[in-house]
Amino acid sequence: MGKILDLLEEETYAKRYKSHRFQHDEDNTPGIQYDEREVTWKSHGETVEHKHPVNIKEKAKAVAESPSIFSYFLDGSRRTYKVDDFSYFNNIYPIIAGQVGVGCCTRVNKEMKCEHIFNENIIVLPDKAEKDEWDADKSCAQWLYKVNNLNHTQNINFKDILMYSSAEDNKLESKGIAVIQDYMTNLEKQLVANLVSDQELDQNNYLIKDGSLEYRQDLHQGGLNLSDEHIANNYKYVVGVSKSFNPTKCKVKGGGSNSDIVANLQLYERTPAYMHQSGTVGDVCFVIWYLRIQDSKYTQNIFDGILKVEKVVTDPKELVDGVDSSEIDKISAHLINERSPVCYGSDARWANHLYPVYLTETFVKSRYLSNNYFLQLF
Amino acid sequence: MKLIGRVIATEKNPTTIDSFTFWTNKDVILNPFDVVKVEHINDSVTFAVIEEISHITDAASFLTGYVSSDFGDVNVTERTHRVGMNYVKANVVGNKSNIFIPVQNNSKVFLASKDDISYALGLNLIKNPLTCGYIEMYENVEDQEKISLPVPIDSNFLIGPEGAHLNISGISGLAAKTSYAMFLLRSLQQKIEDDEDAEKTAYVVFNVKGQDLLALDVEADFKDEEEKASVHAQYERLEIEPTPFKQVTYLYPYSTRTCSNSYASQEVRNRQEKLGNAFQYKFDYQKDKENLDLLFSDIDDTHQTMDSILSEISREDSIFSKITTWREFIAKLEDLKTPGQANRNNEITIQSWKKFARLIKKTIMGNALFSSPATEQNEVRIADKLTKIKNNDVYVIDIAKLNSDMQAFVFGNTLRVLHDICLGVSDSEKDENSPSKIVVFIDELNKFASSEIPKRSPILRQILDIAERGRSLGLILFGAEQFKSAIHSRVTGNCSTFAYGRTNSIEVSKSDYKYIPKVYKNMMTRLKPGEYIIQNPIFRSILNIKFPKPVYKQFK
Repeated sequence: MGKILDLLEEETYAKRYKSHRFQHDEDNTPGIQYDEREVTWKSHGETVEHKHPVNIKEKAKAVAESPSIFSYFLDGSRRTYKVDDFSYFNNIYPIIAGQVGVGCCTRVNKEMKCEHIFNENIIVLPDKAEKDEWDADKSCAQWLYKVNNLNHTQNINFKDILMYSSAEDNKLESKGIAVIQDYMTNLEKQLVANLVSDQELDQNNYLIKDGSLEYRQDLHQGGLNLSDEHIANNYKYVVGVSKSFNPTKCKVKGGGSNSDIVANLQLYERTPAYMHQSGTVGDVCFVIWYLRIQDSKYTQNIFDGILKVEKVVTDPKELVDGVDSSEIDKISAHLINERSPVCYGSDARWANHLYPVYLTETFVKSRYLSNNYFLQLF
Repeated sequence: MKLIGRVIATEKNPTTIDSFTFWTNKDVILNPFDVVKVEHINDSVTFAVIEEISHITDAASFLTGYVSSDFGDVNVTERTHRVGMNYVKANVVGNKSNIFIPVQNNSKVFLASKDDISYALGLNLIKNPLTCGYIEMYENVEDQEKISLPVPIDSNFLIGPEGAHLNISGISGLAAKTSYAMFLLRSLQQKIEDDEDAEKTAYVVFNVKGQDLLALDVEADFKDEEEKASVHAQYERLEIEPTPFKQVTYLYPYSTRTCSNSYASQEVRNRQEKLGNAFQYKFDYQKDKENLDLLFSDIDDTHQTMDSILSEISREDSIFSKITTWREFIAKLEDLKTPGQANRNNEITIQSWKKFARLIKKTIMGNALFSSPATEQNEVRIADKLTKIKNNDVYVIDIAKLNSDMQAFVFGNTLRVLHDICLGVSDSEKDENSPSKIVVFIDELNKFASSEIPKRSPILRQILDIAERGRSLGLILFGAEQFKSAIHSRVTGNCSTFAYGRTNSIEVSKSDYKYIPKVYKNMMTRLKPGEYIIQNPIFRSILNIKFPKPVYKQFK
């Protein structure tokens, strides 16, 4: 045991502390997620300027028997672990490892099938591990080769060894986790790009991506950024659906929070769609709206049962006039029809889950190595 | 072969030496008793028989289903089918390399071929094969042809010497017990006909209902030619000639012109008279008085008074020794009832004689069956006829129309005769064609061997003697009844083979069935006519078999 860490200790001239190994928390609890980031919505994001929430019930009923426009479902998740502390230049740095899973399932005749799955294990070291800062990639590749050739990891491959910045502007452990998070989002973007290049997505075959589309900008060379037009175009038939969001931080133009509008949504109502330009993604605009798919009388929290829906604005005309309201209604109607079945009893977030997305998430997580097994590799 | 699933071993449901669980897709239609094969270590193959099939989804509770329907809206259509699968519990029956460690997680599970099934169930190794039906598998599995194969049973384990006696149970009509017993006897008759080395066997069957078994040697009336061809084809596949029984002799209770003791129609009787294979039986006082105890089979004789009287009657120097007819016998009993009779044995009270006389008179007085047989008019004693029994002979003894006392008397009397023949103490005419085994079939065995019958009942004692010693004597009992649980445990305990036809849920809840898995028990309540669940020590698992319609004439 301890062979990977022994090897890395030797290779990076570190000193091991044999600290307690543990998995970082996975947050799956329902309730309001308080995001510190504040977002201001610029203006109406759709062609019809709705002043009040729009009831989609009849539209949902009208398309209930016709095939759903959602054929693909994407979910990414990661499990991160602190496996040890290494000392470099008399400072202690955490060593982070992670299992990343990104999966896409397709729905054929109401049955789910795996379309594509990435299951990758990575190790994240502090940048201090490499003494020659211009040669980091090469060193990482060499260490990776050696790690993968250790006897006890022969059946388990590590995909990459990455580095986090040790500049002291944030908690080091979080930086390591952020590297793994970015790795995961890159895989998600890669998967969307693959679907597009295979011409799988069109107006009758949308992809629902679990969570926000507001990816952090990837500053690496060759990174897939939504600010690039051709990457943004990949998202023409992709809808980001978030189970958890922070309504209090969403300001409408002219001041004030929209949390009240969201909280007062009645069953099958959606808010007007707003245009939002993200600062983290670059020059990318999204239309965002909220949709209630489960009645609040059955939920613990007023925001349970509400989905935050995002769509990347790809057409220059839409940037000016907003996205066609009929398209937003269509997407909303089909999302409402995804409300059944639910994962009540299996997941506390049942009111916010879309079942095919839940299955995709379950599928991705089912491929993880157990925590104990994974930690014992180190 | 078709891959249908993978083994699952979990913390709570591990695979074991005896059983394992595998998952299949929802649309793979399997059935209990189907055989599957599993890849195992060292390139070996493990075979198993399906016991239970369950379906699960990811719904955590019933409430999940309700919530999924918008909290009780029955019209909601789901966009995605809830993820679900079937998981199948299978019992291991063997491994080709004798490896019995549990099958490993995620091992591939396949449907088996005909040869695999035969190997798995041990059918390929059966010696002295006697066809007892056929099994069918994979009838509704997509892209898979139905497999049908004959089931041989080792005749040494059915009619001795390794194991003996058969018990058939099931609800009247729905279980087709008589038909199955006749199918087995026909199969036996065929085997003995075909195999010169087979042990010589003869059959005695009792007709207890209507004309059921009164045309065993007549061809069946089929609905149409198509049905006939199909039934004949089934027999041919099982390598049994689709012809009715041969060498059949019918023994009817003697009837007078005014009182018929049989349900046999005139047409049936005329045909048999022409063939000369029908006789009427009677009981002669001098030769059959020894069996009078059989008339007291359901009398609780705690003080053994009846026994004492019967000994008195049989004693050579008793006052009954000079009597030659039943009429004289009744007259003598009447005398003894009178107070002051000098010749009476003083140890037996007058009340006992009165009781005895009353019981005897009830059955014998005025009963035409109790008179000396006139051989020139085709009248016989059952014992005289049976002592002439030859290899492959079928004797049908009709008792259907007799009252229950008389049925017991005839049945008990016959068993005694057969017991003596097998024991070699009777005056049977033995030659090289005499059978070394005699199979007796009786329906409604519960009438004679019920667990509620008084322990000292002479018929019960006779049956117990056959159940316990018949295997070595060569006297084999094929009994049938509605409910196996009603039969004396020493009778069922000595049966090597059990055939369970359709029964009811009250019956399967009895302790007699506690070693049968619940699913199989429930299946017993749904079996169709012509379907049986068979248990025999030679089979590695109990089997769900079918048998074709009879080819002898049945009366509706």
